[in-house]
Amino acid sequence: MHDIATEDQGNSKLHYLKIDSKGKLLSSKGTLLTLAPGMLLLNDFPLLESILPVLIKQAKANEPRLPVKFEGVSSTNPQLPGFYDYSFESSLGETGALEVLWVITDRTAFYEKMQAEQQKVNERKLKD
Amino acid sequence: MISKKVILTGSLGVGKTSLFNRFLYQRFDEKYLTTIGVKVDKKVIEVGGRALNLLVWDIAGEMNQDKVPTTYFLGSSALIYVFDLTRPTTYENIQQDLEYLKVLCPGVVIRKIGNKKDLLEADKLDEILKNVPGAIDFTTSAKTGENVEEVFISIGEQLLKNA
Repeated sequence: MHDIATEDQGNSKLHYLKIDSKGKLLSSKGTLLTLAPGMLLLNDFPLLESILPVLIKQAKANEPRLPVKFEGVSSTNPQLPGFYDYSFESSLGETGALEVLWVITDRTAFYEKMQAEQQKVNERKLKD
Repeated sequence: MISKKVILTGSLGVGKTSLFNRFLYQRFDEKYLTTIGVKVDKKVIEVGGRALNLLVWDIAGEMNQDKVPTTYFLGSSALIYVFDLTRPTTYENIQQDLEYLKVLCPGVVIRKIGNKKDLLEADKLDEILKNVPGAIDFTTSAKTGENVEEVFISIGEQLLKNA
């Protein structure tokens, strides 16, 4: 699991969130989001609400805790108006409780370019 | 409140995003815009006096379902397989696609949806439906909203029945 303290905090395109099994924010590093410590994130992030039970289930079943990744996420949260890659990785914290590290990477410029190119390809396919 | 993940899947240009926008926001845009990656939002529906929180995933369309990243399907409770009633290429592989999805997501509720009903006259629609492999659950129009809410209510009823 990444260690938030040792990650490159100078990279403004990344945001690191550590949350507990209830979706409560434990720590936040980065410039993409402004979040109050201790706030519950599930209501504001439906993708997190969807995936958190899966991560908890995997952890309880002692399944391999590989990062779960989603590319090109178009968020409904007004603080994330573009396209982002999400990575979720669960681990056991110092107290033995489940913690999830959620890494958000802003890839808006990349996906906007991809979308414009894909739009042309798809429009051609739809005409055929 | 019970929460359930529902995925809209199917080939490109079949109207998954339009169905998503119609159900979540009661809006429709004539212009086709390619979906990149995934968008997720939620809506609480009432089924038989019970509230159900549906977490709806709109994913980028692929010609074949085995091209869709499998992580998208993690934890899903229901799949809406959407095809375009006016384009046979979007339902020719429906049986193979559904077999694949049933293996990938065992036990999930599946609804087969023929969209863009508004583009067809009734007799033409009947003719097309005879050519679609297997039984379909709903014909919909994201444009007019016809049967869109009904699809999700039907899923909600099944999910609560299975719970």
